[in-house]
Amino acid sequence: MVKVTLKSAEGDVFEVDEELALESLMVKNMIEDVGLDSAISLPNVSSTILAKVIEYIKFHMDAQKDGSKKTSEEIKAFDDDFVNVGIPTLFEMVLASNYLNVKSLLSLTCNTVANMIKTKPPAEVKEMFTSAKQAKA
Amino acid sequence: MARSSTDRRAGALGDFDALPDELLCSVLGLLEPRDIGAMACVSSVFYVLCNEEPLWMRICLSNRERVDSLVYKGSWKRTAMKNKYVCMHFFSVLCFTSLYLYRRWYRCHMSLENFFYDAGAIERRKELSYDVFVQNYDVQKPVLLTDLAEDWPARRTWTIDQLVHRYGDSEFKVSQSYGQRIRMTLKDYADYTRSQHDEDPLYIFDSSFGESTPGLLEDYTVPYLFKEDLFSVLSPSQRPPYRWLVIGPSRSGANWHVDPALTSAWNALLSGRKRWAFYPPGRVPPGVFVDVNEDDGEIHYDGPTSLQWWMDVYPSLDNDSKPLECTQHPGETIFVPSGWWHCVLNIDETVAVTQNFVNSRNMELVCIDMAPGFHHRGVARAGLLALDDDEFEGEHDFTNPEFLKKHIGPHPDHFLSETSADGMLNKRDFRDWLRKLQVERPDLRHQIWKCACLAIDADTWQRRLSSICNAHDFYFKEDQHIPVGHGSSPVYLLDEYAIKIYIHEDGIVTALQEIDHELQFYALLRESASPLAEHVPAVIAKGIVYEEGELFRAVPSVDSGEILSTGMSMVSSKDSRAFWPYIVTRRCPGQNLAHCRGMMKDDDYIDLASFLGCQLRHLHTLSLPMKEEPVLGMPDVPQEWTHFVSMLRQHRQTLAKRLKEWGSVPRHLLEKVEDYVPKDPVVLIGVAKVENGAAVPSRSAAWLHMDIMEDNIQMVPHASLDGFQNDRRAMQARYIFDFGDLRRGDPLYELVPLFTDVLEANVELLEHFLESYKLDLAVEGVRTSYRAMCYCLLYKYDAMEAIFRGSKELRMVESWHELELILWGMLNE
Repeated sequence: MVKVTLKSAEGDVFEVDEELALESLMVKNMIEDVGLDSAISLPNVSSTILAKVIEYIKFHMDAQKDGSKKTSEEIKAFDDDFVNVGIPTLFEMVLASNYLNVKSLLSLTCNTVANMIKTKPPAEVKEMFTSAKQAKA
Repeated sequence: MARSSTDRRAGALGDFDALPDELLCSVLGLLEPRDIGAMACVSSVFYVLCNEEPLWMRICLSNRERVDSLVYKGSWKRTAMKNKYVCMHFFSVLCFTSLYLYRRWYRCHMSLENFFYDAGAIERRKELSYDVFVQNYDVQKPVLLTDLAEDWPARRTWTIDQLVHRYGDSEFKVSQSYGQRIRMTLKDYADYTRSQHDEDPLYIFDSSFGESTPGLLEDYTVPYLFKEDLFSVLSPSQRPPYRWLVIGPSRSGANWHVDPALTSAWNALLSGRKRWAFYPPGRVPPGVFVDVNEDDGEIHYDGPTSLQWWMDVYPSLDNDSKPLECTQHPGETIFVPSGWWHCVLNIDETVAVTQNFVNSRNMELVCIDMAPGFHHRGVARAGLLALDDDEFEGEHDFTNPEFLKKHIGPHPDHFLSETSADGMLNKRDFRDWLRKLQVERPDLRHQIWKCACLAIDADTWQRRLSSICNAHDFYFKEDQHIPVGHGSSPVYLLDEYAIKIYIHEDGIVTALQEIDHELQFYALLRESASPLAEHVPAVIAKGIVYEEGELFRAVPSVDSGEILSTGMSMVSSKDSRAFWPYIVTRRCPGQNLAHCRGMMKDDDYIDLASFLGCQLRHLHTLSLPMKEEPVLGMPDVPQEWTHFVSMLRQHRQTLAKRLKEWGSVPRHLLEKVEDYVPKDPVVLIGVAKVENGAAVPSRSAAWLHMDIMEDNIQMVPHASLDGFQNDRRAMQARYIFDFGDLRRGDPLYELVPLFTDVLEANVELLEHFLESYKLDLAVEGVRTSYRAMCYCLLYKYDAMEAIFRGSKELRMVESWHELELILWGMLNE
């Protein structure tokens, strides 16, 4: 199995299977352009978030393989748990999946944000997103 | 320009400030209208984002539950809110700038009036002779023909205003970037185009205008250069969509693409101007991505809208990488050859008609594109990008069938795989097409055969056929035989015999079991003296064809069981030679139901329904002492039911996925299907009680044909008893074919293909069937109509397509229960 080296914003190095790396269309294009010889540098993604993205892709790749016993309930439970994070982290994951171009993760994280907003009155939404900074109209 | 102290973005968005405008807009697009209303009250910047028309356009078009007619209310926000409580007054917000929103707004409002360009890259010709067209342009390069539409009535009458006057209330199909198909009346559409400011406006792109508004067909004629269309030999239901009425305002257009299955096209413009751009076959336009699915060869193009492409990509291209361009004026017809990349932008409000075609010059290209596999399809479109480094040597002509043939892949199993036809022709219609062409175009004989060899490996199969004929001393004319049949196994019709060679998706063991079943069935049927025996073909011979190096050798068998035992010992031994079992039957007179529907009268259908009622009663009451290996590991189901229940359970597991893929069930019903069909379909067979953890069904399993479809029914000309001509009759059913799938199961299941395929979902004919079938289909404790509806959903093929085809009313029903009673209610009586 061919390995790909990914380098996070902090300079940490992640070695992953090529098959997994190709799930990111951005990385796929990079590999097509510059090959596998050197590490792929991802200055927009922190180590914590990159580790999360890799975990996500790995779980879903395994779940899709023939012979996987994972039920759709188990997959959903994983996803729910995966995005059960604080708002700043969630937004970082939206940005990372957009940058890395991992469509399924982008859709999962954006839908999570949308679901947090759904059916809430404006004041509550406002409160939710002003944890750090004070919002003013 | 705003300094950070006066930029309100950060303050108004809080944590959301981390996301760029583009992502904020896509998150808002996932909300319901009322949530967007609430978000608009959160802060000034959200107020701006929530009042963007493109957001409301997306809300309107991506969430449409029903395929009813769309009426635009002057703005997308108003359309989404159905005119209720809409404040159209908009407060301007200072100190917030967004390049993303501005660029989008600019594209939505820019005038394209002066956005035409033509440096003569595409030749303009008039009075072009057919010979010159063939010699210089067909399958070679695009050309503009200035005079083809001169004499058409459409040349004067196809303006939006005049068309609205004549066809204002007619509905047309509209395409849009969010995928859902919608329909609009022409009047509403014209109102829409004149009040909208959309970046990618709705576009009438209707392939059935000829059927829904036949008057339009009188207004133009297919130009003499494009008269030959080989798909025209197919019946209307088989023929892929080929003609489109195309109406679109300024800014609308078609993104970069290659026409499906490498067909050619002509497009005649009647009003407005269109800007065209072309790249030759195999040269992917900059900014566009092509993806070919490795499983089914499906092509996906990903790229910007044509307007966005011309705005963002085009200006950055140097002269060598610019496309060939032209601006088409009213009255001009453009020819787009096979495999050419093209993209179109409407400069003005345009009306055009376009047709795609296959002629004797591009047919090999179309056929090779339909061959199963993916690599050759990628090469035809993406050219060098799809080739490996070691394949770069030599000449590359991406419209040369011989060149593409090299990339079909190592051993495509032509008979087992579906065609890769961009959904245009399935494998059954494809074989049909080639056979019809053989009859109707003897002048193209050599080409048709070449196509059959390219796409379905016809020559290799013919050599297997010839070895069988030699072994049995049948007269065999070395000819160009194209097999019939819709299944995976090729069937050859010779003068006196029908020869079926068995192969199966699941491998040789399944094929062996299938042939063994079929042989056992014919033998036992004859012994049982069932009246059904007169209506199945007579078996004359059987055997196995072996591969011997480059050759094939057929070995006849005498005893019925011999094929299975010989075959199984081949499988378990180290002998790796390929082999194919076969059966020869006497060829039955008449023709397939699939081929004579055009001749059938109403009374013929009633008689057909009664015939099937009678014969299936004979089949379902047979008690055959046949061997059937039970499926192991199912202690909860009695042995004789294991095959049936295991099949149902498999189909139950993948139910939602399969229905979604087939796409024939309306969305609101699709959402309810999981709750409607039982989690464990074993209850459908009628479980009387459970003993020691095993279900005890209330009835025993019957032998089912499993595949009562039109291809398996043979019709002969009607002969009246008294010898007089009867005007109300033309054909009668005589034979039932193909008992290879024979299985034990619930007889009600047999009604699914019978009703949806043979009887074309006609409830009255089902009644005639039941009258002569007479057997009781009910089981205790489960409604019969419910079981039938569930079996439809759990059937191996898409049975729902036939049910919803052409019935708008059925698509509108609220629930599965309602649909169940309309279709199958009579079974409860």
